[in-house]
Amino acid sequence: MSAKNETLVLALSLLVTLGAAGAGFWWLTQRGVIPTPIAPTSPIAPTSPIASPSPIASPPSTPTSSISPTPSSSPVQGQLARFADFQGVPSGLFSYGGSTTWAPIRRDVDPVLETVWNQFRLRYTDPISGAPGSGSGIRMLLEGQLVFAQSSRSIKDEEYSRAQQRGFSLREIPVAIDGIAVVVNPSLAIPGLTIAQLKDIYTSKVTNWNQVGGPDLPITPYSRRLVDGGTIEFFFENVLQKSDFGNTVEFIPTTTQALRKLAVDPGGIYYASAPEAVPQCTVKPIAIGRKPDELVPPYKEPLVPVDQCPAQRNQIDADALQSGQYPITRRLFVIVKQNGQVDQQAGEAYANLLLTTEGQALISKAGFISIR
Amino acid sequence: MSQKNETPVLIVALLLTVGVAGGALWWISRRSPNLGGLLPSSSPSSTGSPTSGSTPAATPSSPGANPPSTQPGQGSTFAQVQGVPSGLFNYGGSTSWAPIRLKVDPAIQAARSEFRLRYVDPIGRPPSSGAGIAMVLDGQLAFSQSSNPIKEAEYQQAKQRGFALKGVAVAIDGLAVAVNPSLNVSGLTLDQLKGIYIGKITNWSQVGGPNLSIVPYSRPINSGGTVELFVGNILGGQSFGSRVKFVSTTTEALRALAKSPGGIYYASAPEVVPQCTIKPIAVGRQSNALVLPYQGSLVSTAECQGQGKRNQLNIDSFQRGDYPITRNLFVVVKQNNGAEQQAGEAYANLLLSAQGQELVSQAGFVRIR
Repeated sequence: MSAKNETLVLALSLLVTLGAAGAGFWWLTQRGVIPTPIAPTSPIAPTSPIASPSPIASPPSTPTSSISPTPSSSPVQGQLARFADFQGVPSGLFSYGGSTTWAPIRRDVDPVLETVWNQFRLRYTDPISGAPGSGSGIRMLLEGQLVFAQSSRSIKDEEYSRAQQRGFSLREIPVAIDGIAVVVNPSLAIPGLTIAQLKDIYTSKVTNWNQVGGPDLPITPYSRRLVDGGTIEFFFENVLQKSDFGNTVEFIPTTTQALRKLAVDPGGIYYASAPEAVPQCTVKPIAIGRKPDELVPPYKEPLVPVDQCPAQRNQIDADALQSGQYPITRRLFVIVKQNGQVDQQAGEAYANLLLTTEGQALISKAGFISIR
Repeated sequence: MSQKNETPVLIVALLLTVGVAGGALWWISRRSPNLGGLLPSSSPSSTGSPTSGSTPAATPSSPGANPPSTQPGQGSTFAQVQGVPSGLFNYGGSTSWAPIRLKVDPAIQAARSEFRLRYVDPIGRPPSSGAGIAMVLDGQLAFSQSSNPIKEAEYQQAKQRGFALKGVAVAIDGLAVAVNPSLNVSGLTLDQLKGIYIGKITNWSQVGGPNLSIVPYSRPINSGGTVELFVGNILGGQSFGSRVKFVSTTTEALRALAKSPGGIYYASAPEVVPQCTIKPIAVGRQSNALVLPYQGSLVSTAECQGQGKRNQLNIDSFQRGDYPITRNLFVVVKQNNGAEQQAGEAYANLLLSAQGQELVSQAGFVRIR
């Protein structure tokens, strides 16, 4: 054979070999034998293709899975637009629950999320006994009965250490801002209250409306119990500054019952998450301020009188809440169980989905304030 | 180049090629036992007809009717689950897990014969979630099966011994309440159930039934995750009343219930609902929200014993949560960086695979994948 023919043959066989190797490699990646990393659209997304549960198995030397988000993953930096844009939503049936303040989100946002990611099935789970709330949600999360929890307050120190005892950590991801509205009977003539006056009322230092610029009428402060919810805990820590509720306070189990009482008690006062209270027809929300000349209403002015309700309802003034002008706001958190398993993945996915533009828009419609 | 020098070069090139190809094949087979679908993978074998009363028939449509799309090599069948160690592993624990041991574990063994499981009962005490965890803590079991979350004290004990425990949820289980078939009571609220077991309610007439003394049966405290769940969540931590009759096992309880017209018992739904000699009743948080633990109309004892018909578990309702008493089933993994950890994690992964979840669902539980 001539030298020229040999080179040609060698070159051809090299090309054929490379072609065969390439085809084989491509075929193997299609079969999933060779993992193809998906470029994450956000830093928090795990890099493996997620359509099925991430297995926990790993060689004995590393207790955590190799296909899982790292515990120190940071929140989304660039905001994604739609639910469908987020990569990293695990498949499965996920028990979740917690704060009652979150009810409008569970009602209005979660169903939309599930139509987009229909393998991300959410199962709202009440505690078997006892009232639902941020605290019982976190407790059920620690015990493994919930995959992630919804809270209207921050994680407590003892909850962090209980998690540590169990070999994982908890992380709170804020997803919305919620205002706490103060409501009174519609007939009560009062321009508003400062936070200091609100505290005095609930510690029973002030007992008559005429002490705070109102008529001569005894005050009946209503509240749910401290053990029942994050809203009360938040109020206790931030408004009362941890002073005890006074002896004039009447405790009732639910907001529904409180609003009913307030409708027939001219001297009553109550506080609750803004979406639960502001649009109500039987009570009147009032302006709150840090100083007497800085009273800000939680609703868009002018106030809609009760006789025009429900044709017209008071609407939450999102700007006032978001800017901090309205002084009693708190954040709503998704509580994630950082254990390197699907619990962590599901919790982070839920938070990230709520943080998309689509999620934040739905959260706003539900009566909360977007956090982005 | 002379022809003589070319031959060794060609031979070396051939050997190199074969070596590279062989190495690639070996690497692929490590990652995917069936070469990415080239080789047939072992299919699950159904475990035959259920023995009387202890295994429910497969429900016609499981709630997760569209199983999640999985890619080959990511653990959809038992054969594809990775990290399954070879060896003989002792395990045991919760009695509520019995349907899984009966229905799922044999299929796992058939598919992964290198992963041999040996069920071990505790010595000197009845089996339970708690006994299983105790046996993991003292090294008698590689991993255990629990119907209860791991307790603080158990985490502490593990720490003292130099390792950690981890609970991996693999299914949701409903808790059913049963009475004698002759008792005419449609259902109970959780409050009424509590009242009966703490001794406040003593006659069926107090809860819409006939004038008949109530005989509440239970397994003993500290005997099981089911009992702990009941005491913690239904009784709110209060003690059992003095009229409660304690029995060691569900089998005993069901026998007693069949003979006691005023009796009542509670247990994991798959153990109770398909039984012929008792009647499951509806429970609910409110009296207008009572939910049955079985689908459709009640199968009578006569139909059950005579025609082999069985009450079918109301898995949809357990899944949705309108049935008010449900809990997770957990694999308790011993995190000690050793073979036990690997075995526990592998067992959990096998149960969480598509094949595993399908069998778990057929065994009467709610699948979570």
